[in-house]
Amino acid sequence: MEMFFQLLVNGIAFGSIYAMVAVGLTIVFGILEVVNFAQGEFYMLAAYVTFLVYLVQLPYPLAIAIAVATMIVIGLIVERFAIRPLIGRAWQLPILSTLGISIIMQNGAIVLWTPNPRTIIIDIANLNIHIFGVVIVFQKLMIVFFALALFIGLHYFIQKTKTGKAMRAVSQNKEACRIIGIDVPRISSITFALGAGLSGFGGALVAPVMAIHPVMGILLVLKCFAAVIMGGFGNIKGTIYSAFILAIVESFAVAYVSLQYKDVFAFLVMIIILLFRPAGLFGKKVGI
Amino acid sequence: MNMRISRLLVMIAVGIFLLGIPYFVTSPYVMHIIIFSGIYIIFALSYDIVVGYLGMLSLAHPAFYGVGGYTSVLLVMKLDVPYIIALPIAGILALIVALIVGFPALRLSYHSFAIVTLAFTLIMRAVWINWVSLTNGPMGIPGVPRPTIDIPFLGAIHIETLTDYYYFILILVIITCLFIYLMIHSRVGRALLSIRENEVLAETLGVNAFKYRMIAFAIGAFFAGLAGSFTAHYITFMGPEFTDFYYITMLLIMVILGGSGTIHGVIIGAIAFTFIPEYLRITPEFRDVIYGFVLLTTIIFMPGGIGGKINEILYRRRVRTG
Repeated sequence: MEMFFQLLVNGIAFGSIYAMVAVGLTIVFGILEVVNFAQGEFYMLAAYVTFLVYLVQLPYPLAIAIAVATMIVIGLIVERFAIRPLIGRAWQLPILSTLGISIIMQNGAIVLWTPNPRTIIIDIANLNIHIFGVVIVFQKLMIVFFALALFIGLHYFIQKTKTGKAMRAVSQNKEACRIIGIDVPRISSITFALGAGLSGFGGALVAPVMAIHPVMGILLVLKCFAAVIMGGFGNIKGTIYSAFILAIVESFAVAYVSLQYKDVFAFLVMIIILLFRPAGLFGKKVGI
Repeated sequence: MNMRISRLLVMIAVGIFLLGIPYFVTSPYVMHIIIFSGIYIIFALSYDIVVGYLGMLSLAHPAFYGVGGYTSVLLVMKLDVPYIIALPIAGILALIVALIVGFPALRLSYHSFAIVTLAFTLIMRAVWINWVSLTNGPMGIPGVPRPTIDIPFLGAIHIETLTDYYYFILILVIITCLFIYLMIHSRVGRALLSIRENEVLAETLGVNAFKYRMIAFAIGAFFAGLAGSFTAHYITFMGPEFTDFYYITMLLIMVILGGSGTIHGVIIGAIAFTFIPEYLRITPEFRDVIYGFVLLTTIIFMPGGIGGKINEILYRRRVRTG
């Protein structure tokens, strides 16, 4: 039974990370109709920025802030030069351009920082907390806590603020938005930067508990795509639930089925669900 | 001069040039790259059926290449099947796998299709790496025999030298090009283009989009399987690295820069990007950074690719001369 809860807790912690990255993917898709293959690289770069800040011995919370801010800036640049020129053209072009960016970032990271994994050692992050026989690393609690806080904040932002309302409007009808004076390019920038920032936050949070290496984002982003598809493209709530489902399934499958095929379970779950529900578990139509 | 005669003369000249390549290329290294260009032409053209003519972004192509490679290697090495039978079986098995994958995947939205096909590639890769008793895992299968083709009453042809391999791949390339050319100019090709341009309109005209998508996806997989089989028996090795993500990038660059939806453009793209990395002597990471930039700038500034540009120039000239 303890084993069960241990696996569940691990699944929830990883689910929070998957959900953060996947929500970034899904809002970018819902609003810009762009599949962002570079999302995993924002996660990877943020972990590296955290590592670099840690090297100059600044406090960890400041490192998180710097990492997220850097990713937002990079997100804005990427949006301006690789996404905006392609809006309104063939649907596969933005996928290919973000794929190009992902390749550049990944291999650039290998050139800059070598493929060797790096680690950050923060004492408090690795503190073991015992609750009813289940061992939880402190950082994993922080990850779950921040993820929940972030989702509540995001919900408020999208539902209540003026910018959030504009984002929802753009996801429904771009032409109509232009007519009533919503600055669509500005919304597009904000959305992409938000997506990059969410992914960066995830990367900064896992930096103390995982090895940091240039290809850490690839499998993650693919599993997040699985979550996005399962949740119904562009559906934020569906994506969050799917991310948690995938992470928990993965956590149990690794323990009870096979460790070798660890990275396959998420895709199998996705394919099985798509066989029966081609629009995803929660999907009806595109829109947030 | 008459258009048709001049075209015929050009084709004869190209034919003589292609047949003569082994006589004036003396360097075995260059010959090796030329053979690889042939492999990539088949691989990229078959990919272009799906990406260019069908207009779906499939990321499962390296998996079909691997299915073809493993199938023919295992048939020849474990079951002693003659290569001339194993080669088409490799293609057909890749085709069957494509039908199985395509049946659910081709019903999805464009974006989901891309991700699901990518997931399929990763699953296949995990199987090849972990099913050690069959595939020898990450070590791969060394010592794949060179092809021997038995022809009744004439004896066996052993394909051993680079020249033999060159003529063999040349035949395969010509078959592929002819097949794709004929397919595009047939009912199937017109149906595919109509689906790519406007699916709803095509469906109202009675074109079964799903059926034609399955056909194109399966044919693409068939030729990818052939390319995989030839590669394994040429370098006498088969391993899971043939399904690396790098190959997807490479294929995309060949097809997009070459010009998706054009045969000549894709051939140019395939040849260029087989030769360039060989002479670009830098670390693979740096090379991949450059590839990323090439992909990015092509998409932003020249989405039609080289083939698209050539077509544009030819069209303008035709308009000008009336």
